[in-house]
Amino acid sequence: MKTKKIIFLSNLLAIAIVLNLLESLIPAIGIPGVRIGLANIVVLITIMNFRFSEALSITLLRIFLVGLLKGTFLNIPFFMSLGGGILSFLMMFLIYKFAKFSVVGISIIGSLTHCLGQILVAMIVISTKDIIYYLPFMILLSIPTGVFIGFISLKLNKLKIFDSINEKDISK
Amino acid sequence: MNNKKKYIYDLVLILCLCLIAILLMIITKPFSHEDNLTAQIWYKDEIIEEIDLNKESDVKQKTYTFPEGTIEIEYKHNSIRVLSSSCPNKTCVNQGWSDKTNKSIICIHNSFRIKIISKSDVDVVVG
Repeated sequence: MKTKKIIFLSNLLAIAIVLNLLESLIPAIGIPGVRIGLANIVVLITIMNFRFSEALSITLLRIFLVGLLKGTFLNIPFFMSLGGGILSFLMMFLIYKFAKFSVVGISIIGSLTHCLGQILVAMIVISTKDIIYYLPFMILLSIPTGVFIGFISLKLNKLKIFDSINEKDISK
Repeated sequence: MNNKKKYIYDLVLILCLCLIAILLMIITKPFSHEDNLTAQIWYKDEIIEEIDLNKESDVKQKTYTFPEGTIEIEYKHNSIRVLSSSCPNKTCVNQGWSDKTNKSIICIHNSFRIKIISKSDVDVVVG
């Protein structure tokens, strides 16, 4: 891996961690625990510009490091983050590679699957299906948050910051 | 042209999601405003207490202590909330008053939840 690439990836990881921590200071919108998903901007940008393994490692490292920084490492909120993070990353990656949605559409699916992943983990951990009643509201909220994050990622990606370090890796 | 096509797919996706959400709301009927509410206090997978919120006229408080931490709840006529909790996120406290059926208050950190059910559908008069 080129040194330049490592620097870019480390910077993106740092940005994702800061966005994640900043976001926890913003009060939830509408439904308890629902956030805008600012760190998803970094996930989308890494999916669009880097390889699968590189993008996945940024997502996993972000979840692990935020868990350590917040003091929730290996607690239930950490596993919810991990479940939501992995599910949304995989869905966004698959849709980016194989479906015909724009970045905005991918972001909407990412935000929805992040919620779904977290709900599934919570349902398993506290063995209740009561959270399912929040699902329709989460679907509706994932649309504006997904569109917002999608547009920011689209505008940032148009700056073509990563093209110089990644000529051979861009497949799309 | 290609980008325009992509945005049309996005629009279809948004419309489909709205439709699914509305259908789910019709099927599950979440958060209906009813009288005769009862709060079930759950810890892990067992009910530790049931509070008949319909009977309550004054504001009362109660504290529960679990191995994971402490939770203080407050309840009044057909309403209940978590007043304070030892959990780090305080999502349960920030949720505020809950006064609708199925609008559970969940504190994942303490494996604690308050489920609100309506007893009116149990009291069926036959004859």
